[in-house]
Amino acid sequence: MGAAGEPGRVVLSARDIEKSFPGVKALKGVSVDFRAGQIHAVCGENGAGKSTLMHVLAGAYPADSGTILYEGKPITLHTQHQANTLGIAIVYQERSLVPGLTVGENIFAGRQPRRLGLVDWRAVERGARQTLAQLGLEIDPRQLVVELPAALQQMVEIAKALSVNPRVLILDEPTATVTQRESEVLFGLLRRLRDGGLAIVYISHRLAEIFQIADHVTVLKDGAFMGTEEVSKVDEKWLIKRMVGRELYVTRAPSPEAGERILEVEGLSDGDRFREVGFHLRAGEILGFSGLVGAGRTEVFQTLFGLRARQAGRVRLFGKPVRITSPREAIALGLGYLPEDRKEQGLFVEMAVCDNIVAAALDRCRRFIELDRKKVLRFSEEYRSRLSIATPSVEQKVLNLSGGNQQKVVLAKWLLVNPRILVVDEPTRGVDVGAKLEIYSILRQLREGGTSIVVISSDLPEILSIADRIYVMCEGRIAGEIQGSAATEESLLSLSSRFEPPGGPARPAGGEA
Amino acid sequence: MRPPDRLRAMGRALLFRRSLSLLLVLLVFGGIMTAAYPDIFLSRYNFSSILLNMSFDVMVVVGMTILLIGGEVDLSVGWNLSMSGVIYALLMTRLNLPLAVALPVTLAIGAACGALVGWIVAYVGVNSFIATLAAGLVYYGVEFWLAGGQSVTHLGPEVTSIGMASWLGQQLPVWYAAGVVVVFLYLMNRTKAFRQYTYIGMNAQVARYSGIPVARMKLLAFVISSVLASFAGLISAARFANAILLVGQGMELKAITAAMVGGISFTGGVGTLAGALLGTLFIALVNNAMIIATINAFWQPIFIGVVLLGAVVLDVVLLRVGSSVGRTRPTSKAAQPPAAPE
Repeated sequence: MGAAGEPGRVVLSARDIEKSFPGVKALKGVSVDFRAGQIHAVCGENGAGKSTLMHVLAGAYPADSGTILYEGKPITLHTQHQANTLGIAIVYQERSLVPGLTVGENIFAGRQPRRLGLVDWRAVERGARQTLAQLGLEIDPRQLVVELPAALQQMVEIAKALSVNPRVLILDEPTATVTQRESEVLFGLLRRLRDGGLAIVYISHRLAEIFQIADHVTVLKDGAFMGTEEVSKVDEKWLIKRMVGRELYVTRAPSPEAGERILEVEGLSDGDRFREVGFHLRAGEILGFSGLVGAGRTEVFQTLFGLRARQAGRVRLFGKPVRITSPREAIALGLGYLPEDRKEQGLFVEMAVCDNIVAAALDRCRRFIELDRKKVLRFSEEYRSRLSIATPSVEQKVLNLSGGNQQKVVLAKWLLVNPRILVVDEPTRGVDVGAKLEIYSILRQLREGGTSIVVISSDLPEILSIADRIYVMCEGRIAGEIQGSAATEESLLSLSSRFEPPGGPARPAGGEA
Repeated sequence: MRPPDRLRAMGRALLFRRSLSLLLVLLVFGGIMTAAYPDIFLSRYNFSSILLNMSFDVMVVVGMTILLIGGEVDLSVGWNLSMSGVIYALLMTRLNLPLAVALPVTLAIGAACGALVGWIVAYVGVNSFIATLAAGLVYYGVEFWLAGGQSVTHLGPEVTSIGMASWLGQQLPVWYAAGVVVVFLYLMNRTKAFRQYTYIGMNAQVARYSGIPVARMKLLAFVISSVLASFAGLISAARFANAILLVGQGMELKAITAAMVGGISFTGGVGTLAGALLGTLFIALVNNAMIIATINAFWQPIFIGVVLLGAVVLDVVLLRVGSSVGRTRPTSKAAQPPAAPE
């Protein structure tokens, strides 16, 4: 690549970058230097400001204050295209490739070489072949992207970013969707690029990877700069100490007497995202499921809820073996699942609040075969006041509500089902602090009313605040089990970035009732 | 509510509720026709002929509307209708089966066809546009093959007995259509089961996550639509004493047009069966008016095309206005303290 530059020279710097979004200060004066010929990891918990920083550096949105220096000169970025032209390329977590087009077409998307006003396909192929060869990738540019495995798609993504000859390459969680073996291939490529003089910014919250690949590491916490160090001089403890330490949202309530095991799962696999998952849930407890995004937590519970096919494993619900194949059956058996994606899985955004609240419990609003509108309104009003959903009317469309209130509508929908076990997946994502606290108190009340609850969350303080017992998942397996009172952010983090669980799938912690 | 507020609320209801605005348009249109052609338009004969012509469309529109609300479409209903008429006629003329057998067998074939297509769409996951386009071609071919390329004509009295009689001054197909309308208006407006179509059409994934049996309901909608088309086809053969090969040609597009004029959205979840039926009535009245006014028949599709475009453009504009109005409303309400409930 043409990204020459003697190693160690500072190519890109951030100086006192600040950025606020409504209600949150995402970056509080962050300064970092990125050097040619080095891989610089940026790590931090979810919401620490990693992605915001990268977006600012790539021109996706402007900083409120502070300066960006490129090759020593201050620059102002208004668009990502501008950053690209200067020599800053970014590969986002979400794929930007068009699956139905060839590798070559994707690499040259939007800037195909032309001849006589038509796309010069030979030049596209030649150019793509050249780019891929320089990266040492044996990919046929005529192949369709959809035919490639995830890791190779990732490589094509990188090849596309590199085809503009950048000096800085920013990678946002590049291993989030690839397996460990595949990420080795990726690391090989990144090392070659680094040795070629490219400055690489590597965002990840997988600690193990940082030690495998990075030369420098910068830690962010709640938008604040917590330090930059050479990776060879630090260890995992150093990183974790700087990443954690956020305050708990609520003071822990004492765990109640745990009841009998009402849900027992053994050796559950879906043949894809998780394998050999075993755990149990006791009556009247709030069980936490921690782990990184993509660790397989959501998939495990989608499988239990009949949304995904299972390949192997046994599930016992209230002592009886069950085989659930649809959400309808799951609901009938006393399960509820509040999904992680509110807009795509949880809410009919174009429908009224009341229609949403009753959506999973239409049978409760029935009078013989009729849907009783009076019952619909009565239940909606009841849950609107119980969860204090702020809306001028239950006939208001959901899309007019704030994020927190939308989430309460989904919660109301599942409460109306009256489940004996309620699974909530990222229950407070995109919700302001006030609504967050309200949701926790609703979950606690539910538990007091006899419902057992599973909380899947990537937010460590959240899990620590409300869970009585916590399982940590990593790479599709249970990496460990901790009592809520004994858990710390450090212990959860170190379990969630461990690739191979030590000594079997589940490690019972001391003092289990 | 002060009078200007009430006026504004009425205006909004008229603008945003297609059935209301369409009803108003129909009244105005009827008024003009009455004034212009008092003797012909209001005559009993004209009234009956409008109803008879509409009755076959209505049965197809009901099935299509359920599918459209559920987010699917059936492009095979036209050829399904033609084929069913032919099957019904052949069962009785060629196989000499009695009416009591031919009628249920024809409907059962309709149900089976609908179930197969519905299964392909709902369980295999093929886009309904394509699956039903293909099914329509098959029906078309089967029909021509069975009938040997010629309409089955001069049907006997047993065949026509269920179509040719009159009751209380209206012909039988009108009563059948009325029965279908009454049953399905009840089902769609009142029952829990059919209310699920609105949820499915709004967002099938959210519906599935909410425990609504999405695939099963979709399959059912295809069966309903197919059986209604079969029924319309065999009644048409009985009423006209001929099973005409091309009788249902273009029926699917006519039904979609009527539904969309009546406020049904192609993306699903939006609109009511009552609206779609008013849309059917509107198109029937327009056709009738053009015949009475002896306007060249070519103007008919032009006029209906323009009306359809107008209706969908209005929908798009209202959607834009509606969402911005809706978004500012809570704030403006909060600003003026004791807001009266609407």
